Amino acid sequence: MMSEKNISYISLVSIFLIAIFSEYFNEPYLITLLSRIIIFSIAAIGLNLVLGFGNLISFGHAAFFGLGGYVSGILAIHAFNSELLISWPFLFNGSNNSIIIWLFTILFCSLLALLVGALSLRTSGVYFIMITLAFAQMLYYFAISWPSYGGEDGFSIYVRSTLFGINTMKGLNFFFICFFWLLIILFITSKVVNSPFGLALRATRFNLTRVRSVGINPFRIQLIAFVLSGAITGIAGSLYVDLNRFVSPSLLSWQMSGEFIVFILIGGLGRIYGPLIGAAFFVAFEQFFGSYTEHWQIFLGIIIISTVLFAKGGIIGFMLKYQKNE
Amino acid sequence: MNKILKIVNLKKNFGAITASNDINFCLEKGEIHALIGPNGAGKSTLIKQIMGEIKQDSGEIILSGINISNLKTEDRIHLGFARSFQITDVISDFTIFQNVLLAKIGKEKTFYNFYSSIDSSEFALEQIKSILLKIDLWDKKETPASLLSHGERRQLEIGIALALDPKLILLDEPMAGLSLDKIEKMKVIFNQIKNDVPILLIEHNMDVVFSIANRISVLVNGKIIASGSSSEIKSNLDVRKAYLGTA
Amino acid sequence: MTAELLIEQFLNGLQFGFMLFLMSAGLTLIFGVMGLINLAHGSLYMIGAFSAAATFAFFNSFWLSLLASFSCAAIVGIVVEKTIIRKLYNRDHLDQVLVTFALILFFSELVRWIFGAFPLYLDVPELLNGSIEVFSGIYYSKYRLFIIFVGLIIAVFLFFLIGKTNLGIQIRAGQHDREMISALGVDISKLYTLLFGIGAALAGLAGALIGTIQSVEVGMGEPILILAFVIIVIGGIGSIKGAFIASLLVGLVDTIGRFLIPSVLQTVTNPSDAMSVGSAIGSMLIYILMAIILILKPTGLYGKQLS
Repeated sequence: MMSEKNISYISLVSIFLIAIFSEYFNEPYLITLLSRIIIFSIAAIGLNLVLGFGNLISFGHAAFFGLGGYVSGILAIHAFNSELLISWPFLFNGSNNSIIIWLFTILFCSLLALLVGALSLRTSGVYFIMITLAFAQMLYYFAISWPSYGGEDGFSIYVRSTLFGINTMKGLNFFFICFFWLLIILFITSKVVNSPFGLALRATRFNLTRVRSVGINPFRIQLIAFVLSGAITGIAGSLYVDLNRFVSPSLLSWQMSGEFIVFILIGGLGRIYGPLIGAAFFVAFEQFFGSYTEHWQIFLGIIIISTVLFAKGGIIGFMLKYQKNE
Repeated sequence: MNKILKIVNLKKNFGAITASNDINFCLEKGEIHALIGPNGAGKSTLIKQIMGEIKQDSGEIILSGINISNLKTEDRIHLGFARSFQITDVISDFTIFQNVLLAKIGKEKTFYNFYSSIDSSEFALEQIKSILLKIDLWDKKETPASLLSHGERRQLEIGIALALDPKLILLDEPMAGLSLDKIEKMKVIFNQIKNDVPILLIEHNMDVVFSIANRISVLVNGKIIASGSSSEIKSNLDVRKAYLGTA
Repeated sequence: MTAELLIEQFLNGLQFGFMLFLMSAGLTLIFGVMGLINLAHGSLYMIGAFSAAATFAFFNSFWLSLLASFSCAAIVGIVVEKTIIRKLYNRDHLDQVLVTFALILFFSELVRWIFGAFPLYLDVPELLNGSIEVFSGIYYSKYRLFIIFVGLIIAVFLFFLIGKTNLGIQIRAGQHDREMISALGVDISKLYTLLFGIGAALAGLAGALIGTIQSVEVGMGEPILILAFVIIVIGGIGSIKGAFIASLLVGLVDTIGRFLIPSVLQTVTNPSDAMSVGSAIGSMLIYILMAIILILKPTGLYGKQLS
């Protein structure tokens, strides 16, 4: 019997197996693609927490993705060049230790999410969509016009950060790190969504008055979810920069925010594993159609429109429904 | 300390109109106290003053010994007021269980718990089970609220109110629009929950009032003209005069 | 820094503001009346610019290309409204965002397919070439003055349309109560199509007018779309008056901020730092402005209060 859980486990296991086989058949490009799928799905899982479960349509999650990327890239490039990053309150040259990079990423992305969330959650509906978009644009234009870190062109980091002496430059090893992160994030989000906090969050999407009337402050619930969401998407940005060894303002672009929403939609809104399926579909689609025509986005556009207009529930929803009809 | 709610010399004027004229009454533990009166007698003005939605001109409202006369509505809710059918509203995408659980989470302030599973049967299960049994919805606990009938929705609303662990429940026209057998069912439910939480009942259906209320107070022209058991009220001359116009 | 330069920047800001108004007027009306978030409004701007560029390449006439810009954008707008957009009116914001996002992908790629990836250029007609003395000793581009003039005419036209005409009454009624106006016997789907067409035409016209100053290329619509969103949020969604005031505000703040902040910073730090920090802050200025306004007034300057 195919349940949502089974579909999810099957997809996790297949991604893992494909990676192992790709190594065996010496297809490093495929491993990079799989790492990309995983990183994109982590980013979208972060967004899904607020969008799918709290109905907060953030159109600016690229801000956290990009900030995570920039924080990681800046720490790494300073460490690589042995160049002073800050001189107060202590001397700090950056770091190429993954653990330190991730801690800084989580810290900065949480702080940004706290700020953006505290301001944006004062509004709702379309104003919320727009103000989150505007915050991301603000960072985007800042990154473009700030020359110290490459401005519009971005900058390269030459080696991946290190973790417990693992050779992260080897594609499969880096894939394992990403995969491990995916498992952690999936575990955390499924835990949170099914907790009392998660129930309160899911309630905020339907009826704020009702939530207040039982003594729950919806603003705080939403803000905490937003911070958690920003931190998760930030981690994805950090991994993405490490994967490509390249940082650029395009991480912060609004198309990036839009794509995260698309991953969620294609996979199935408000499903914990939805973003994974959606990102996998997206990347596979891009590879497949991209090999026939460089204008593959025309077809992507058509598919998104048809999914929204005719197939609500995304891939998982479709598979579950198909099952029922059989 | 049997008096949960005590109203003392409550007065409210709107210009020349006297809406509440020196009202005194109380709600005691374990009882259903019905408040009846013809339209325009000042029932809703009285309720609004009890809930803190409008302020009395003079007099006191005391909840379990605490003077709440000057508190805001939210603070009164925090202290244990539950009012059904007006401020609460079920979340239709949630199941019955989830709706009651949400209220419990709010009441016990466990909404910052990120790790306990609400699917596993442990979390607050016993408390919620006892509530759902009382409102006779345990068998339907996994049904989404959107699929409930009108009457079942009311039952659920009472369940939500109970989950908030109130000191008293104020029921505003709970039987309006219900079929006869639903009314019978609700009567059973009310009789059961009054032992945990006293009920202040506002109801037009006199059969209901006379069959379940332990005490009845009659409000006419902003004044309580009689207070007592069903049989006392039925035989009270002033009440007959107010309702029937004859003695 | 001279007064001449400052006045020139002021006029540039005004010109930019009027173009932003052409974009945001349609957007705010479409949101206010139909409740639709239209991300693809920038694509209509791009379509206007490309139609103008193509017409210009064939006929070498600026005026014909202007005509082509708004009529093509209007036609595309009406077709899209009738086939896709109208299915979205009763959907939630998320669906609207997704479908109109997908429309951007579709149109951007389609235009790239047809016209290629290289930017196209439009020439300013002879009549509007060169500068004119606006104040004693201050010269300003005729073409940019022309843009201000067009923006002004359209603003007047829109205020007249909404304030004085039968259509305007329907539009205003639609903003308050959608069911009411269909109850009054107005053919609502016709009204929506018409309104969407007007919005598209204005966006297309703006695309051609701006495309003449800058270049005509794929992706030109999105930066200006996001500015238009900032504007309708600042002005209050659904309010033409709000959009007008916010457009000029954003146009001026953006243009003058980018120009002034580096120069002001030069007085306290070295020129290269001042240039880089100043331009970074300058480019963020309108977003900071929007954040401040939303903190003070969560529904914008002229927005309806949230229920």
